[in-house]
Amino acid sequence: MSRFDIGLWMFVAALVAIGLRMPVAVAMLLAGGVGYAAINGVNPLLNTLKSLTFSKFANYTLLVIPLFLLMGEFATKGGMNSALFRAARAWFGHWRGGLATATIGGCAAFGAICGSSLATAATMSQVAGPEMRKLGYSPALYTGTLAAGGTLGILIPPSVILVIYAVFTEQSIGALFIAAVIPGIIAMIQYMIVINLYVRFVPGAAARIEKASWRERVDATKQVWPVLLVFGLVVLGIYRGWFSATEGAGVGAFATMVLAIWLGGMRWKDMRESLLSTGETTAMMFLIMLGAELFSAGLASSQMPTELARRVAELDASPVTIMLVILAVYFFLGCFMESLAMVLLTLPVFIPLVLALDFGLTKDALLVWFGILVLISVEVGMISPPFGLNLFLINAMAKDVPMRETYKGVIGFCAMDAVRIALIVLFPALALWLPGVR
Amino acid sequence: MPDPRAGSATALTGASPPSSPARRFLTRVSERVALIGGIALLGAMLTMIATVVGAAFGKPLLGDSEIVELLGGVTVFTFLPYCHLRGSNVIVDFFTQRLPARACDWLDAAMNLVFGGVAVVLAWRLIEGGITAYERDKRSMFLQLPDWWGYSIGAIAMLLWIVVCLFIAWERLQQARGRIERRPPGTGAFG
Repeated sequence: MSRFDIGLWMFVAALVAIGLRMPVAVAMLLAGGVGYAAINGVNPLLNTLKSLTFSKFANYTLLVIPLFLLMGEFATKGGMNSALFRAARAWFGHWRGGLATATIGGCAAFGAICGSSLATAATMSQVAGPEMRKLGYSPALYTGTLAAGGTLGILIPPSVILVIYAVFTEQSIGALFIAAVIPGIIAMIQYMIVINLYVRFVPGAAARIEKASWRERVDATKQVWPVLLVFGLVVLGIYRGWFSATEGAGVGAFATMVLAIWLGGMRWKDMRESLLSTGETTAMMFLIMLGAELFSAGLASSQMPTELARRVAELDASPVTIMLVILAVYFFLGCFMESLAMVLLTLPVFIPLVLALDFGLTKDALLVWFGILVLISVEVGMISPPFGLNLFLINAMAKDVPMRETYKGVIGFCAMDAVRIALIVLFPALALWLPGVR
Repeated sequence: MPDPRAGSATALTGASPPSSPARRFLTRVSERVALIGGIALLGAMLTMIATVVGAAFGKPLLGDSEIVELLGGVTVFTFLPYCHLRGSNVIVDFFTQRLPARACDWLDAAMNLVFGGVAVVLAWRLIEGGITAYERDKRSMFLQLPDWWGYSIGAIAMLLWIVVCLFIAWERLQQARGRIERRPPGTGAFG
């Protein structure tokens, strides 16, 4: 069996095992380990494993992940989700489908301090869900909005996926965060447009509420300035190099903790829950990253990815076509796979492939741009029927809403996502202009 | 339908209550161990604040990243058993959703045995690595913290992790044979 074949079989074996309910991390560890041993011998594998686990888990850069997760947890426990929703409602509430619009606004703001899509969807559902329901919003509209709004959690930095992508491709975390800002804002505006159109074309989907007075608006906004301050401090601080990404996450988590204790009345019990829930997700993610490390080491020594890139280059297809095929693969996988696992499973193969494409961009610019595209495609996977994870989360929380309704409500948002991907493929500057990557 | 337990949704929608005495016991133990990691994470965060504040006043802490790294490692290791016990390791159940629940239990039991096997190899290599670090007296650059401290905490957590894998394999086996009930899914959060 040639090296290329071994690499191919590693991939196939991992996918089959994953399909048969093997935890993704274990499948990657196993396939990667066996492949690595088949190519380099058993002893080198055993030697690598002596230090690999520890060096991957006790890792300064990767510590950003639990700290950002902790920040999101503290923000929820401090009631910042409801403060953000109230403020957004004061501004947008009287619009057509105002509460849904306010939900999107609140999700975007919450996404600025939370790096996870499921967490954003779940926390915003708790405050915005019951209100939209009470006002007789159609189930399709409100579950669709919550599912789509949740994805703003990863689209708007800080974003866990971007951190991992940055580490994997050796790009600056700060540059990727800044690059995600404009696409994130576009996403928010697009989602608001979808809601407006939905309410126009489906009469009776949403009741109107009274316009808030300026006084109410100012009062509600006063409640949320700390959130914006923390976001600005963390993202700008990392980007301008006031502190490292890890320190930035530490500062953000600490500031959010202080706010949660001071303004939100967080006590030890809530703190304990935050720590447990953060650690649980952290362990899950780090185990996948460990698996990915071994998997990509195995793939790299099989030289399958570079060989594949060479063969694809010979195909004489245009770079845009190949890029669209790659994004389609993400979209497809995203339908039934957790986003982080999917990204880590595919990056070892796709990065050499992408680097071989000529878009007239430098290597750094190409990688940052691709990172944003991956981020968006992953996010679309989370809300695209029939298997998007966010859809199931929201539907599980709103028990009496049939899945069909949630599907109906989310279609418009998915269409907008497709438009946004096309925009960013056509105009890389949308991602690259703000961080000034060349 | 994919189980919302895939991904981190469990933590959000609330896991079902522990059922058997064995599960209750393991839950208690791994939660305690995990809390150590939680406190370590808080410690890492505070160390970083001290560095940032110190640097702002021109007095940066030397070797802060070594403390932070060690504490972060403790966090990840100590949460491995808790995470797996709560069923938070990502699985894809898309292709098996049409199978009867019992078949899935059999598969899960087998996969948890495999998981346990992988965990045994990882723990074995980690312990070997720790012994090497101890014998060669490997230390961190600034603070001279011995590497084997981190390795030993990791090893202890990993032993508990192996136990959890084997326990879940056993639990699924009992479920498959109808000896114990399947744990109920989480309940709705609003409505």
